[in-house]
Amino acid sequence: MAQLQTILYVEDEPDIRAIAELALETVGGYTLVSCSSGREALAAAKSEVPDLILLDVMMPEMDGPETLRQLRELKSMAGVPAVFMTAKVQPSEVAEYLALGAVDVIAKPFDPLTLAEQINKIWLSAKPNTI
Amino acid sequence: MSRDSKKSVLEKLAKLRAEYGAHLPVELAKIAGDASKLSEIDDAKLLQELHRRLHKLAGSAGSFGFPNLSQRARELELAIQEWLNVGAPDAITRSQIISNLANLESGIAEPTDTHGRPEGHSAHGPDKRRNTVYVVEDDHHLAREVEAALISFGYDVHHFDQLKDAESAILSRRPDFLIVDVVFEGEQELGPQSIARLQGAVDDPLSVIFISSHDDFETYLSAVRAGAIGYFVKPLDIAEVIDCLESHLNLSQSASYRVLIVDDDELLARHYKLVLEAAGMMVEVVNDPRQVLTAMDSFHPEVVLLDLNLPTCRGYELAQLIRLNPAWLRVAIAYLSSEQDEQAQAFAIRHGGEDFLTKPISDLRLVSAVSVRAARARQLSDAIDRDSLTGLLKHSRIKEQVNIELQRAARQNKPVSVAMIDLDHFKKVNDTYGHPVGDKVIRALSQLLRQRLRKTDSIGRYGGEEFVAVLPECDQDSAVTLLEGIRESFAALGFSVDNKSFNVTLSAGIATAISQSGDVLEAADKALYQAKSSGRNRVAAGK
Repeated sequence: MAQLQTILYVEDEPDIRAIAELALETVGGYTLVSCSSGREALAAAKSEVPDLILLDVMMPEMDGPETLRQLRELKSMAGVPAVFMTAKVQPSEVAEYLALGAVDVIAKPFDPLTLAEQINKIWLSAKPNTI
Repeated sequence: MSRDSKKSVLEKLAKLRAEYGAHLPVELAKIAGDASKLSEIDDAKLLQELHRRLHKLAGSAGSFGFPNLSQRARELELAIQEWLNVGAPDAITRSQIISNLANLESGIAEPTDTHGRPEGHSAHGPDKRRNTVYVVEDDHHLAREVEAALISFGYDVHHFDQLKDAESAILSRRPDFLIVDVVFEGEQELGPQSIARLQGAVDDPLSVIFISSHDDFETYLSAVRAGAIGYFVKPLDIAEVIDCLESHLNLSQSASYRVLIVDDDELLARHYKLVLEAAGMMVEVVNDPRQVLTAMDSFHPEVVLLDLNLPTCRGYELAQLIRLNPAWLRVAIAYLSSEQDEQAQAFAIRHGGEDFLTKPISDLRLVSAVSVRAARARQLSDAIDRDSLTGLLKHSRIKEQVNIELQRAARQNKPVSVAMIDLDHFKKVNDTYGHPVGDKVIRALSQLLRQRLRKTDSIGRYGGEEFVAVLPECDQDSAVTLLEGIRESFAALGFSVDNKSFNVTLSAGIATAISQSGDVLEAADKALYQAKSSGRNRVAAGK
């Protein structure tokens, strides 16, 4: 059974990126491709296909949903499960993200010690639909 | 994860938190600066900028150990959002928002460790952050006694003669607790009013414990009004004071509440999950009622939120089904439904659930309703499981816990140590000083154990003066070092009765299981016997 290994992570805030790197790389043992913008993520996706995409919703220039839309246009990225991270939670918003093809939404602030576990759970439950 | 890597994660985490914390004042000053302009102008651009900053803060501060700041920022974010959408609020609300924005920094103080104590029994003793206590007491003899007791329980203690000496210390470094010997007549400088005034000078109320010689309604009331969390009448029972500190710490450090949501409306359930998770709870969602039993078994929720109209069955049937299992009697069950009919609501409450929350429900109301119920369920559960004198697990529960940890250790191929601890010559203490004093000694040991052990360890009162501690992921050497430290601290603890003071010692036996479950309890008991027979006041380890 394939395991979750590589995560493409897009977040514009450097401090949040640092703590998520700690949470996912050191605690979770995953390989993280960290990007500070949607543009960077699009470039990274061309050279490597991750097992999972993790995106912040609110980013300047290209926000999370727009980044995902453009990532989905790459053939290799079409089936990769995506998860949004957001500090805002409104029912209509969740629906919007799921409609965009996200498999789940994670609330910010997240707990750095349990984030990896949470992501793995999402990954395990998302897999039957995508693979 | 090995102990070492766990430790390095915590170190890195602490470093990231420190960096984030160091940068916070700059960010908060920017917010306060923008806020000050709001009293004059009503600029959309400025509001949007503020909204962006608050949104970022709300989403990040909690991950770095500032959950209160996250919460405050979120509330303000919503207020600014409304300002942007609906237009400027009335003058009073406006000035309130501005002052809250300017005062955000009072949410920083010390980062709260949302994960309790750092894990890992290192060879150098527990490496947790010590809690600070300021003691304001002009009776030097009593001050020394309180100070010594608090230090032996691992607190960082500072003594002040007068409240005014303590004031500047409080403003520069906020203590976790303030213990004040209050005077009600004459010297008004030490009265409850001056404490109340001090509470006004800080934004988050201080946890104050009053020591007093008065014992009447009026003085209790003035203590409550000055924000007291504890009130003790002289002669002081120091063990009671420590109990008070410990139970407050447990409240603020205890594990996240576990909530199970059963709702076939997938989107709405996800939304509730996010709202509760953002408030620090652990949430699982079940959309298909058939999955409830599995979720109850694997997730052990403290609160179950049931929708009333489910596919295949009704919510109250599910509540009854959960109630059929005696193990789940302590779980709080609340309906969360759009059912408006009072008859139907009453019927549902008569059949299994305790309470009715009506949809639509605001985020704030959902969080408060669920956390109140979870806290109550946990309190009740603790009352059932815990020994009333010590607050430790009862005999049967600690035995069960030993088995749970042994199985877990075997599954994960990790060591687990079990320590059996017994007071030396305890009968003599009871016979010489009486049972109330004996109880005091037992309580002191239980407090010391709770203080020194990790949150993931379990401690139980096994018999009258016998205790059992289960230490997951702790090898034998670490366990011996840990228990040696506890033994030394306990032996140094002085008890006094009628001006006579005495000390009590303890013996401990340790057994460690590594990926195999033998009878570890029995092995620990044998080691304890060995410690006793070779002279007491020592720690022995079995094979």
